[in-house]
Amino acid sequence: MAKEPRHKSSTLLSRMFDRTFWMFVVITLAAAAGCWWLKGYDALLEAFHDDLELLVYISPRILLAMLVAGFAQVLLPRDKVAHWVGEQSGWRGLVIATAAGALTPGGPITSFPFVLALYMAGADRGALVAYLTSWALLGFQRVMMWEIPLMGMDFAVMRSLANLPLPLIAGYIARQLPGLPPRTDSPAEEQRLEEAVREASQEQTDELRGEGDRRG
Amino acid sequence: MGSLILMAAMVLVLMFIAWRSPKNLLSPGLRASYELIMQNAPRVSLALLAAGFLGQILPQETISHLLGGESGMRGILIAWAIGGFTPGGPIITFPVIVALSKAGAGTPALVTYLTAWSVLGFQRVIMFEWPLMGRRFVINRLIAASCLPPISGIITLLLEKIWN
Repeated sequence: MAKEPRHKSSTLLSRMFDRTFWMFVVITLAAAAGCWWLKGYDALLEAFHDDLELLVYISPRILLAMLVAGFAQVLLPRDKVAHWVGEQSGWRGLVIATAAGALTPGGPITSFPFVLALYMAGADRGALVAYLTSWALLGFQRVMMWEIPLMGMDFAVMRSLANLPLPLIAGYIARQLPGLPPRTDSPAEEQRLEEAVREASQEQTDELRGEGDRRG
Repeated sequence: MGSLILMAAMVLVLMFIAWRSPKNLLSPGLRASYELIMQNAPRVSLALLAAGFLGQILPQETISHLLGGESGMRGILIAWAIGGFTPGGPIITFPVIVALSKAGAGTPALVTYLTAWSVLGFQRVIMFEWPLMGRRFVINRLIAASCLPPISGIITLLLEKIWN
C-alpha cells in the first residue's frame, strides 16, 4: 500500500457516469419504449417485474464478482500474465486460454470477473476472446447439465468436436483486427506499475552492487 | 444459493492470499474492488433492464420458429442468421433445441444454432460484456466470432458423413 492513497473521487464519479453509462440509459429507455409500443403496457410491466427479480438475484453476485475481479487484479503477477497470455504468447497463449475457458465452471457472473481482471493485468485480447469463446462453447458444466440429458451423448460429442477448433480461430482473428488500447485505467493498476518499476530499479542497483562486490 | 456460497468462498480465499502476500495487498485489493463496483454496478443494472425488455420484444418462440425443420446448408445459414437474436439462458434454449430436433431440424443446423446463440447471443453481450469490457472489446470479439457458427455447422456436416 502506498503511503498516500490518491483518492480521485471526482474521476471515479466521472468514470461512473461516463459515455457508456449514458448509452445504457438511452438503450434501456428505448427498449422499454419499444416493449410498450410493440407488446403493450402489461408486457412492459411483466418484463420490468422479471427484471427486478433478476436484479435482486444478481446484485449480491455482482458485488462478489467485483471483489473477485478486484483482488485477482492486484494479485495477478503482470509479468506472468504477459508471458502466458500476453501479446507475444502466440498459439501457446491461445491454447492455454482455450483450456482455461473449457474448465471454468458456472455462468457469466463467475467467468467475467476473471476476464476483466486478466484484461486489466495485460492479457492480450486474442487470448481473452479465445477464453470467452471456449467458456461459451466447450464449458463442461453445460454439456453435463443440459446437453447430454436432453440431446443425448452422440449429439454432445459431435457438437463438442465441431466446436473444438473455434476458440483458437476466434482468438487468432481477434489478434489480426486493428488495435485496442489495454485497459489500465484503474488506480490500483497504476500503483502496481509504479511499484514494479521501483522494485526493478532496486533489483538492478542490488545486482550492480553485488557485481561490484564480487569484482572488488 | 450455491453459486453465492461458491463466490463468497472464492472472495475469502483471494482476500486471505492478498493479506498473506509479502506486501499485504488487502487494502489495494479492497480499493480496486470498490472502484470496480462503483464503476460497473450502475451500468450492469441498467444493462440487465435493457436485456429484459429486449427479450420481451423478441421472444424465443418467434426466433426459433424461423428455423423450423430446416436441415443441410439451408438450415446452417438460417441458424447462423437467427442464433444471435435468441434470448435466454440454457434453461430456455435447450428445450427449444429438443423441440426443433423433433420438428426435423438437422444436427448441423442445431449445432450451428447453439454455437451462434453461445457466442453471439445478444442478452449476454448487453448484460455483461458491454458494461464490463467496453464497446471496443465487444465489437472486436463479435467480428472475430461471427464466422464461427457456420464453421461448426460444416464440421458437423462432415462428421455426419464420416459417422454414417
